[in-house]
Amino acid sequence: MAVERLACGRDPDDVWEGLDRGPDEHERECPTCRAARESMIKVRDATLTMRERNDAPELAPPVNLASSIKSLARVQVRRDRTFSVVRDDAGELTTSEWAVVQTVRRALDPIEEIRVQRVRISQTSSGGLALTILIIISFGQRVPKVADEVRAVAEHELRRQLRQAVERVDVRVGDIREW
Amino acid sequence: MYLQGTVLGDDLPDRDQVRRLVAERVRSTPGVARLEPSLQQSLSKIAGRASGLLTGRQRPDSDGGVHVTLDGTTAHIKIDLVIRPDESIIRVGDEARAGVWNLLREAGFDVVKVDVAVLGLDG
Repeated sequence: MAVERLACGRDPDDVWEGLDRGPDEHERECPTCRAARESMIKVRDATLTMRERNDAPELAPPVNLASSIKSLARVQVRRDRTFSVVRDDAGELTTSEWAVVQTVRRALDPIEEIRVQRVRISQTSSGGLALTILIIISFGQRVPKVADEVRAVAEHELRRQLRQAVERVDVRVGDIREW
Repeated sequence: MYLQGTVLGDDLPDRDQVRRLVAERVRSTPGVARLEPSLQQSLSKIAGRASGLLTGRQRPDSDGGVHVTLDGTTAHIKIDLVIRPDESIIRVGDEARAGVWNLLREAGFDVVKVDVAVLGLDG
């Protein structure tokens, strides 16, 4: 690409790079270069002033900006999927999948033979609840026995939380590990 | 009639008063960790902080999580909240719903509809 040059033939980048030193012999004599230097000095000084102002404490982002952005993300996640728990003339009680998943995870926490990887809750076509729990199971455990315990705890917790029977609880073992 | 610091005569409380009263009632419900502001309310709050930073003025916190629609003697309230761990979604949610419903009936509204959404656990 052709470099656009000053009328005297000088590359403007050379003039810019020479701003910190005094004008050379050509720049002292050449009116084009003198005018270019003056304009460039104004631009450089304005840029420096703006950069210094940018570092001013009063323009620094608030210390809690990052946590505010995280809380926005959480707000969105919590509202992602909601479903009705009670509906009557006085209004409706709904809850989010996020809330129910948190309660189920907490209820399953004390079971030492498993680590919960994922909990999904959905509504069946008949309006009931279906739960899918993906777990890692500790090496040496009997899978059916542990799965039954997981299923029983999850069902009990959902009944306590929502006073609704669960139509289906699927327990999937994703991995077996030693701990 | 006095209702949590608000003097009520023949007039019904206005939207801001209702929002404040509802927020106070919900926060005092056992098991409620906090109100959960909507995405729009959260964005407004951050924008308010940012504009306060530039103008030197900070906006007061709103009663985020409470949305009030009034039409004459009809009130429709939507509440988003977060409960404490180990609490029951249905117990806390129903108690908050009943508390607000009673509050508004006592305040003079004829038709009251209260929708509560329990969106998470915290605290």
